[in-house]
Amino acid sequence: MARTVARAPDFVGVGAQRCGTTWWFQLLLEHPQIRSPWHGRKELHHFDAFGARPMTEADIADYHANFTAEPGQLCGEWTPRYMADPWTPRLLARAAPDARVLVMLRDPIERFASGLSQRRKVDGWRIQLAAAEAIERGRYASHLRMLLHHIPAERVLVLQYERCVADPAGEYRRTLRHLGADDFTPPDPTRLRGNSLARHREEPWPDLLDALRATLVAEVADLVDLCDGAIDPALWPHFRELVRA
Amino acid sequence: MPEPDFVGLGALHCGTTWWFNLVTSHPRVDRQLTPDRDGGFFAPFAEQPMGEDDVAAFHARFRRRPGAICGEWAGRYLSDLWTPPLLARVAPDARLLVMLRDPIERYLTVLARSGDDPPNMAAVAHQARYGSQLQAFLQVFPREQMLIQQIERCRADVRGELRRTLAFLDLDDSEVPPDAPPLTVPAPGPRAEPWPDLVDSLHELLAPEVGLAAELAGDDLDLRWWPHFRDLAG
Repeated sequence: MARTVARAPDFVGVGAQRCGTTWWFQLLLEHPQIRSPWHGRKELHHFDAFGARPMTEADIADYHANFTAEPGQLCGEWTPRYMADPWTPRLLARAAPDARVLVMLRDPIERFASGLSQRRKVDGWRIQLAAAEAIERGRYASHLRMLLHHIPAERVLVLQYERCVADPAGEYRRTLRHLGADDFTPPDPTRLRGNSLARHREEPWPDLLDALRATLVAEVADLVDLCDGAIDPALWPHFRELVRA
Repeated sequence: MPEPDFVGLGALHCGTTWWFNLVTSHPRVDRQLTPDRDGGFFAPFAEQPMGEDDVAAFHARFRRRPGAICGEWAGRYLSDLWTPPLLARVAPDARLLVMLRDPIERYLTVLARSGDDPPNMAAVAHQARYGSQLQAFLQVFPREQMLIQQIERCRADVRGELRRTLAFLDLDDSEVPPDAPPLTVPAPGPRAEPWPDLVDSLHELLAPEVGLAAELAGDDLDLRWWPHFRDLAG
């Protein structure tokens, strides 16, 4: 079936790495109205380069060239690092001014352990870089604040991975409402949840766990306030003490 | 085994090599025996606990002549957030030295040096979360055990700032040979030309961090020296 002309994406997922975004994107693609970029990639990483050079009008046109869909269809991508790259929120607001934005978050210490498993290399120097990056990517509140500085809050949906696991159908419907898609129930919402590195995951050792908590607890508390109910710390085992009495 | 007398924590790309050479040009300062070419002693402990053997190995690095002091300076210690509690365990009494630089100028320097193959520039930006980093160390070390300096001030007044560093280490700068090569200010390195979106993004990310760092550092940090953050100067 012929596709229409290129356009800005209808939706863009911006975070976060190792938070179930592949699962959720695949679920979205099961919806008859929702399309991936033309070559089927989930992650375009279009904005990665603009920490080293300015984004031009030609770059915006190149971005739009990825998104072609028929009338009534919705087309988008999900690149988990967008939210953590400081230059991306303002550039995304320019390149996709009307896009709905999706964010999926997970207990940041669970995310750290999973992210580190993914990036694990053999020598200490590389593990050090990977660990520093894995910690940074858990600074959800800091990243979300920058996002909300450039994109209106009503266009940003923050999902909590643990809630999606507990109630995939309900959270899926929320996502569809946010995207303006018709209601739809995927045949088996849990089927595509995979690519798990859980078997490689190791609990951070006690000193590291303490350092992670000391670094991230203020971020999580800030996130809970920022998201106004969208994030329930009771679902995050390392931050349950933040549950309000 | 002796603990180090001082440990330089960072930051990366802030002129720490020059300053460490200057400090160790003092006749009563010994360098650690095995300078790190990688990420520093604590790098492996991102994924494994630090054991007693590791502690002994750390202490064994700091052998000094009678009457001399000994220390090291690793650029990454400041930004590796698992390091503060470990350093507090192995060197609770060490004086801590921190050298900072305008984070956006720092970014532009790294970018210029990277040529056609820039590294993960987001990581370069995040390494300048000075406020959070200082706070993590100050949770386990008293403030009076840390000296924070700015490379911009050091370049403008080498002798005066060196005197501050050495006095902090209980040393007299008059013992530094007047013709010590490191006293020559290095020529500025290459710098990428900034563009508005980049500068605005980095300022947005880092202004809270710079503000917190200034609060923690007090008189040690004068934001009038940082062209991109003068708006935060009190």
